[in-house]
Amino acid sequence: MVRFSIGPFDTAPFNLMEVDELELIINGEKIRIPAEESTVTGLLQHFNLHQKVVIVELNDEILAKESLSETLLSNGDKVEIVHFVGGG
Amino acid sequence: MLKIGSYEFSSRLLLGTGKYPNFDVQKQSVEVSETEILTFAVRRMNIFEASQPNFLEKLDLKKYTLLPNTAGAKTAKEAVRIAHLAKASGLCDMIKVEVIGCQKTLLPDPIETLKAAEELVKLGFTVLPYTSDDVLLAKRLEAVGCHAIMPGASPIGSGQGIINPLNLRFIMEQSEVPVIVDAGIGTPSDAAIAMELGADGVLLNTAVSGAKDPVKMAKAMKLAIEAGRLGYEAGRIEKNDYAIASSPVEGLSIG
Repeated sequence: MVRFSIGPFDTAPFNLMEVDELELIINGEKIRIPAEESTVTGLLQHFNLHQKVVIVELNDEILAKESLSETLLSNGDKVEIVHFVGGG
Repeated sequence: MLKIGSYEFSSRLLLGTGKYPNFDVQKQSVEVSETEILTFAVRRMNIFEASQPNFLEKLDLKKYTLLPNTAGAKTAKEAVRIAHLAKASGLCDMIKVEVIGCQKTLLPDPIETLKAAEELVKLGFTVLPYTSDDVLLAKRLEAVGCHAIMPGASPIGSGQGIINPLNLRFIMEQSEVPVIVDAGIGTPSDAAIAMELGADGVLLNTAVSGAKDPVKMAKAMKLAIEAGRLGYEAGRIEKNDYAIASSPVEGLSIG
């Protein structure tokens, strides 16, 4: 039996129930992704971006390329996915 | 050779990658220009359009050094963040500091530009700030360790050419680091004049991408920059008010 530490009630449901979706804020938009894609690499694969040159920022922290596959996402995370575009 | 920080280039043309009619024309323009440095901007990706090609994918990245810009930043803090994002790509450590202070003229904010440049130098970036043609500001940017100074010839994208050659020349004469004339170039002769004044390079974008035939203009710019540089190295003649005959005045068979 798993016991959860007691926290504020409004955050408790996320810990107590098994969620099959994650709600993230990606580039300023609320987006749901399947919970099994819970690493940053999983997220990029979900959107078919894993082969692209992208840079990911998670909760205002830029992620090193090597850490993408180990970095776990949680509900409510703020994700910025940026890339290079034409410019002078 | 153009030396910027630890980098060396044989081309003195830095080419922007914005606003080309299509990727094919852009790729050809880049090739014909023989540039070795390409600028880019950093923007949010549309994650639902992964199939959209990106110009980077069309390039042999071994042949080019990427110079991302911080365009979009209005403060030093925003510029530093964009620089970090660009570096996290693992593709480059050069950064064109561009902190715009006025949306109508797109002129840089001098205070924020200096702050961002100083911080980025400390963080180990190779720093090329886009600046106005202010001579003292150029000196201050050099003093905080910038690896090149990039004064504008005239407002970005305006195609007005060089509106203050005297200030540009003052900046070039005093600078110990390369001076690259950035922004406002409209024609090959503008680029040639920048080089004749003593610029170490020219950065342009719209003059090529917005031309009727971008590929041809890319070639024209390459040749103009080479010609201007050769002219500068060769050393121009003195200007005189009156004519000085090129042909001998002795031995005339007349009279």
